[in-house]
Amino acid sequence: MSIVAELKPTSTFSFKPNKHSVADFPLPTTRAESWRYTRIGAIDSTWKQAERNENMVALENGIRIENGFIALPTGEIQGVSFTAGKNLSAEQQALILSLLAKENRSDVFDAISENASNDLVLIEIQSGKITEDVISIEIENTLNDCISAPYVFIVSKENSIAKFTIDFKGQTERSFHLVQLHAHVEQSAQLEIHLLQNTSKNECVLLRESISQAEKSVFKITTVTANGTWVRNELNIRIEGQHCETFLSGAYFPKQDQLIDNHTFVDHQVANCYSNELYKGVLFDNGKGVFNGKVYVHVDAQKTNAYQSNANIMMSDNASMFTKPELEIYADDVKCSHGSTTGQFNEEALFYLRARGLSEESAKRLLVSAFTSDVINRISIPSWKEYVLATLIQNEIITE
Amino acid sequence: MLTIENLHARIEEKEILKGLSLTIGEGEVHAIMGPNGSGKSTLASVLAGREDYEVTDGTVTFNGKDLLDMAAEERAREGLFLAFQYPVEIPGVSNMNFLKAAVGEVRKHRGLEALTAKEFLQLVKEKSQLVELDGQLANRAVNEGFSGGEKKRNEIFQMAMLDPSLCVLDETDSGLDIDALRIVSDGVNTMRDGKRSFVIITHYQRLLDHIVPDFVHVLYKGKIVKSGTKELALELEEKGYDWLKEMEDAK
Repeated sequence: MSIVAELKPTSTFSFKPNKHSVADFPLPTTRAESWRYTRIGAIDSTWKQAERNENMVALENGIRIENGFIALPTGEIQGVSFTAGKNLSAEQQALILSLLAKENRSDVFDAISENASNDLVLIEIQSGKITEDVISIEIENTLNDCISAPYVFIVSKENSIAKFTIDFKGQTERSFHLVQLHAHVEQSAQLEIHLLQNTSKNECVLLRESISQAEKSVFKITTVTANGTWVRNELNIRIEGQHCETFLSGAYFPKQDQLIDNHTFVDHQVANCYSNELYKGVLFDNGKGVFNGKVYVHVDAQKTNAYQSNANIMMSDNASMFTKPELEIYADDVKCSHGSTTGQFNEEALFYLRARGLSEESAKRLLVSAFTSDVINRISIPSWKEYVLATLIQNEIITE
Repeated sequence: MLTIENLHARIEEKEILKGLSLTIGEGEVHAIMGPNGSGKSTLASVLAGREDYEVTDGTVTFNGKDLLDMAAEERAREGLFLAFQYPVEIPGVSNMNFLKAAVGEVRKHRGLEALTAKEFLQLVKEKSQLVELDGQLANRAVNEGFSGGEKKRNEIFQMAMLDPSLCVLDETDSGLDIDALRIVSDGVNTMRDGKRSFVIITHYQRLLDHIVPDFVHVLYKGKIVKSGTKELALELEEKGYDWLKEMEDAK
């Protein structure tokens, strides 16, 4: 097995009865439909597991994940509890196994996660709790060539409201983040997750997100990918209860030889739900983007209202974008729409701005920020939105 | 101010300007009239630096500098302003942010200090009144959802904000109702200060009832075929362009 040099035994899944073996699965090739446009190239390499940094500290308002190890706050934060893998109760273990069972994907990366994972956290928002402040999750690799494979479980209990930010950072020459995020939003709860992926430009990210929603719940997620040599986000949302609302949005900016892939799956299992998906990309240099958005409306999911949109701007002749909306609808009384566009810059707009004195560069950046503003405006946390914008400015993607 | 000599320009393989010469002095208002397809808008585009057009011969000197050598943004910073015939809608870019950036660039280039936020807002307030532009419009996205009249007023508002020395108005009267025409013309007339020069490109004489030009030129087949004073515009209004075309074609 080339992908992880040597797997150390970990305690994370000691309670899991049927652990997969990495050797049982081949690496996916572009012959598999879901990997058709994404070569695993950059991640098919030798990675090593890190040791826990004993000096690592949690964030004031959340957790820090360093090289796959998780530092937890000592107590609860505003009715939000954090439980490490080794401290899970039997009940919590059962809860985690039930969340994992929802994703019936058995492949090499899940097997690597199970075997290489050093740490796990269960975050529970107590019922009826409305958190005032945002809970932060910081994910960073500090060790060259390491694989970080943490599991994060979030359970929003009934009637709770919580917002999370997840900040992927990086300072390594090269390393691999294989992050599993599983969340369940209980009845009438609201959960928001806002992600920024700004690892160092040679880091790889495979983020597997599995979300399930019980009735009358609201789930919102934004994913902004500013950096990373190979980034793939697999976002699966299962809508299991009626009268749910789901908003998923993303903006991605591959440049140089970067690859950014967003695979989303919205599974409308029941009736009377609304989902709204908006992904936008701006592709520079030899950057490559992939968007595969699947919406599945089951036969019983009548009155589903599902909307999907993907738009891209190519900033270079050498950039490439592969986009595939996939709607499978088996109910007959639904409203579903999807649209996808990939094009060049609006030359007229560019000339108009230049004719007013803006340089070509700043006119382009202004247009890029305008193009992605509807995604960015879905970030409901003002300070996080500022942070995301500042990151994009720093990466010379947009202008102030 | 501006000297155009023997200007030839083409788009793709089609030659449109065929030896146009024109001199515009400080504070002068020149109207360029002519039938459709005579090259009026091409002249505006070439002056503003639109890259679709290729200049094959001739020179354009603006305040002593070679205009054709400058990128579109440099021309704007040097003090040339083009009011577009079809102002572009740019969703997501706020009018204010855009103007702030543009004013900043132009002032920097001219060696002026950057405006404070308060000074900028004061300037916006003052200049938007010039064209009776609702303060709300300034806060919206550039031209998005603006009526035809609002777009043209926004052009003149931007012109006032950027304080150019040469203003080129490309068919600014097209699509304007009589009230908007009056507002736009009043705005332009306020900016006539004896130093600023104007090139007013128009198909019809009606705009020139409001903005009275010092000189009128007729463009036909890429050249200026007749020049005169404001009376020439009235003559054209009365007799049309045919007599000039015939005279020219007979040559």
